Amino acid sequence: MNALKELWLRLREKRYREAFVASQVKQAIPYQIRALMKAQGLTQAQLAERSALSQGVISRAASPMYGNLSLNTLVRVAAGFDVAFVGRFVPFSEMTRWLDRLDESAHVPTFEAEDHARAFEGLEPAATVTENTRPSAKREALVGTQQPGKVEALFRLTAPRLTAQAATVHEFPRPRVKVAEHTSAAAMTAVSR
Amino acid sequence: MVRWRFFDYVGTDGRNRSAEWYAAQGPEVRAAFDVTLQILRATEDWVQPPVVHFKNLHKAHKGLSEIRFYIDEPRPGKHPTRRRFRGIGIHRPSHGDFVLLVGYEERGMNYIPADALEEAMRAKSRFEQGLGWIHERS
Repeated sequence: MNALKELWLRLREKRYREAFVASQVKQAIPYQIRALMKAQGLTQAQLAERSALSQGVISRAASPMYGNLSLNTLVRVAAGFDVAFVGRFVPFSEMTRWLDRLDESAHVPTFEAEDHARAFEGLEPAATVTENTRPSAKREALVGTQQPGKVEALFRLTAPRLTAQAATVHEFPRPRVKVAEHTSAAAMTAVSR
Repeated sequence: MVRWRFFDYVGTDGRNRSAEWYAAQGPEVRAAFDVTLQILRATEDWVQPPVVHFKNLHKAHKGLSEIRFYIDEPRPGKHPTRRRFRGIGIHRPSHGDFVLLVGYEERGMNYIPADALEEAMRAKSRFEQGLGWIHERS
């Protein structure tokens, strides 16, 4: 009998399946956080910075022994990775198949990576807006031109902390694009070309 | 990617002590153990960076490794009690597997069953002598 069928037989016991779901949530989420950190080459400190959380919180979030992750932490961590987090109710068959296919090297692209890979047909990728994402920081943007592999900064907008070095560089389909345009203190709009 | 395999050691007397231990546990413990194995199965390297589910033992128990997991037992009106469990066995990275010998619960400095580690050392010795056989866990 294969492993999935064997697991299914065990799940017929209600207390077992309740406990299985609890344990799966407590262990599989930290597992994904560790896998994403590895894939994105992030340390706990770097993820903490991007998530606007402390390193201690990240350490606990990545530990399956903690078991008390809050939704607020989860959404901050998702923001730090720039990926979506979907907590949804599913049938047991879906959970068991998902768990069976769990793969540390499974690629979860960031929003920008998806955007540049044309996640939706007919949509041009946006130019990169580089901003300091710490909630306490001043909103700021780098305006400049971008070529594959490098950003040529023209000027900074209210940018005490942002440097050209911090800019995210992507392989753009066109050789030069305007990186970003500042519209207000609270919001920035990226424009291409 | 690596998919680790898990085996139970069956002694020459026909006893599969890790399966016996598993069967004697409540559903909460069995479920947590099964999920832990699923997570480890999909974790490429258990040692670098260290995985909290896994630990190589030293000194008197050198050569053994443990798979660590827990359950949080609810208590009405209070914080849940954390119970810690271990599956002891032989980690064989060159084979891409882990051979489970025994399981136990750790309560402070006490083990349940009390002779779990000694039994694991005896089973390890028999296994290394080529006695008994292994049976894959599903």
